[in-house]
Amino acid sequence: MSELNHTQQVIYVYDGSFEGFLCCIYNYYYNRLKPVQIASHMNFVPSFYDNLMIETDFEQAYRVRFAIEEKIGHYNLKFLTECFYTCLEEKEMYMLRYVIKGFKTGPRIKDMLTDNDVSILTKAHRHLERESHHFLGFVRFYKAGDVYVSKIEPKNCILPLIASHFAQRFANQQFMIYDAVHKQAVISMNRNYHIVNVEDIQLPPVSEDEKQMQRLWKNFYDTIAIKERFNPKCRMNFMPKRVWVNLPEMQGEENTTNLPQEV
Amino acid sequence: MNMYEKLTILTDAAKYDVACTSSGVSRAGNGGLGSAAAAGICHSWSADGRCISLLKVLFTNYCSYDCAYCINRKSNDVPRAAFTPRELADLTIEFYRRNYIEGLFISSGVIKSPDYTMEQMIKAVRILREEYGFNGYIHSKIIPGTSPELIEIMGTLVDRVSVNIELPSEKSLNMLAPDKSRTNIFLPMGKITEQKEISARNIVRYRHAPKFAPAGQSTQMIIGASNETDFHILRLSQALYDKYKLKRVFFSAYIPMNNDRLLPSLDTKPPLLREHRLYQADWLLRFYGFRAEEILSEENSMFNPLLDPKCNWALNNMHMFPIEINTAPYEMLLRVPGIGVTGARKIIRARKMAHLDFDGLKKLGIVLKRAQYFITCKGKAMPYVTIDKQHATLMLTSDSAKDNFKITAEETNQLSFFDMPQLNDRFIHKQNERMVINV
Ligand code: SF4
Repeated sequence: MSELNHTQQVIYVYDGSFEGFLCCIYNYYYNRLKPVQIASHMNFVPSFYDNLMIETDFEQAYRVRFAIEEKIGHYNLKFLTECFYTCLEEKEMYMLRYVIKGFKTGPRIKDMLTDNDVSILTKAHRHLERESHHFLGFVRFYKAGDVYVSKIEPKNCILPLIASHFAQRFANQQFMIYDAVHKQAVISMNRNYHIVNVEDIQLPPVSEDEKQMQRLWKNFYDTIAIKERFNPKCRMNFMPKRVWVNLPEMQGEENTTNLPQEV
Repeated sequence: MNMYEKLTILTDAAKYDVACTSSGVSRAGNGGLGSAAAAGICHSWSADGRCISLLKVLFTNYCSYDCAYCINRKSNDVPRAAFTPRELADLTIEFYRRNYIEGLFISSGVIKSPDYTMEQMIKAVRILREEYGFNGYIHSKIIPGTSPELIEIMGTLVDRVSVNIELPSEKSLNMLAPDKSRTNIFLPMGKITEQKEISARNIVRYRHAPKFAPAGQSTQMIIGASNETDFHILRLSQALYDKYKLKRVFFSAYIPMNNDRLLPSLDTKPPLLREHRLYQADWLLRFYGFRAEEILSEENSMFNPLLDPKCNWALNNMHMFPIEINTAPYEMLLRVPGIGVTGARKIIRARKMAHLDFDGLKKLGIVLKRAQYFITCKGKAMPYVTIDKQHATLMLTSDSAKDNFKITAEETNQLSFFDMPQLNDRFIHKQNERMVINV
């Protein structure tokens, strides 16, 4: 793929899927149109730039994927696939530039950490990985009938990264983890899991028995803290307030910086 | 007594135990319940900022021993409770299924004898492993004085075992934990090391040989209940890593619970900063290739409260600095304050692609706040930074005041032992120059 002389500036609008994004790369090389922005049709705002609607074509997507793997290597293909799950704004543009540079540099692109695009994507990817790791701990299930249900609200789209961990660990239990931010859910039964897009779903209520269990857990949580070492600032660093809403042990918890009053 | 009350008593009694990590072993799910992740997973953080990973409880807080520092000692009048093995196993499973925890951390007061106590704990763990097929993480304490046969059984059931050495010297141990003895502690510890080696050899020969405590063994000791120096404690940790191949040595700042003439008074604040410094130094031993003797010495046997051990070492070895980021070997990069393992690796990767300057370092995510006094990029120090011991000491100690660590009253008294660097004319002059340039 050779360097092209792009003259006209447009916004690429695609369907928001990774395949769709690969087709954007295809178009970059085969149309003489340089994007100023690549927008998913879901969060696309009309502007004075011209739009180029990118049709998702699996044949094109396959060819781009193949080219990336051949020329920039498997590691980078995986890296880019995962970057697509990050909450980095304008991630598509960073990723496009990464691919363009990658075709010139080869697999070593990943070590060009002083390059702006590489550095920003690497940081966003690191953020995704960290958040995924944290949510291995922050997922909380409650039992509703035979199914264990959980709701999470992460910043990045982490379900594809964490689903297999839970499917393995809870191989003999049916569960669902619902990501209310990205409107996705993983549903698992006997080690087989699927990630599905869901619009609005109504989660089952928390039963009395289940509340009992949550109280037991909160009781453990409250008791394990050593009051002579009270350090809410440190707790906040590790467990920011935005994740509290889905943690039963944090209900009714105050983030005061003072010691709780002794009774 | 209902479960709620039991759990309260037995959690409250276990909370001073420090180790709560679930790291050190990676085990995929086996189609049943549970797995383990090598990096460990924290599920929550308690109000004291400590990670909650395991259901950490005592099997019972009834105890026939009388350790001076312990809330559960037999001479104390505190509410007592005991789980049955099944109760504990069931609770673990219920919590685990809801992803509250990574597994179980079980310890206990001594009922009847060390062996009787261990047998009860083994029962609970057996129900988990054998009856429920639980494949998650289990850490078990070994009660000092437990017989080798029981250690062998427990070791093949759990992921990690630990014998607490409790206090940093035999003298303190005899004084404060009269029912325990050095031999009672080091014999089991040695037995575990030996058993691990046997199992490692067997696994080479036949793959399905039972694994013995695959996440290894750890220990912990109380800091500040007795008068050992930091140097003594650090050297002891080093010896434990060398001799017993321990995975971790944990330190716990002493929190007074009992009024006892052998112990610091009840209003003593826990030496949290000291504990923090010990962990920092411990980190240097385990991951940075330092030896205890490089960090402290007989003459200089306590940590500097104002400087982390790595800064302190670097300032005392200024003749080795500055180092050039683009050429220094990995081991030297690791010795720069503010550059960690991840940072050093990134530097090595990135400098193969391009010469690094200070902007480049920032793009890599290297924090220069401390590192700037010890490095050059392409032969130049960072603009406006002089590489000079006095200057660096002054800047670094004033930074540490901003650390979010609260220095306790006793520890501030120690501060007077350390000579604050004097402001000299040259330095003031430099400061003024800098201000002019900035304006
Ligand atoms: S053996 Fe000593 S430290 Fe352990 S519970 Fe009994 S009194 Fe406390």
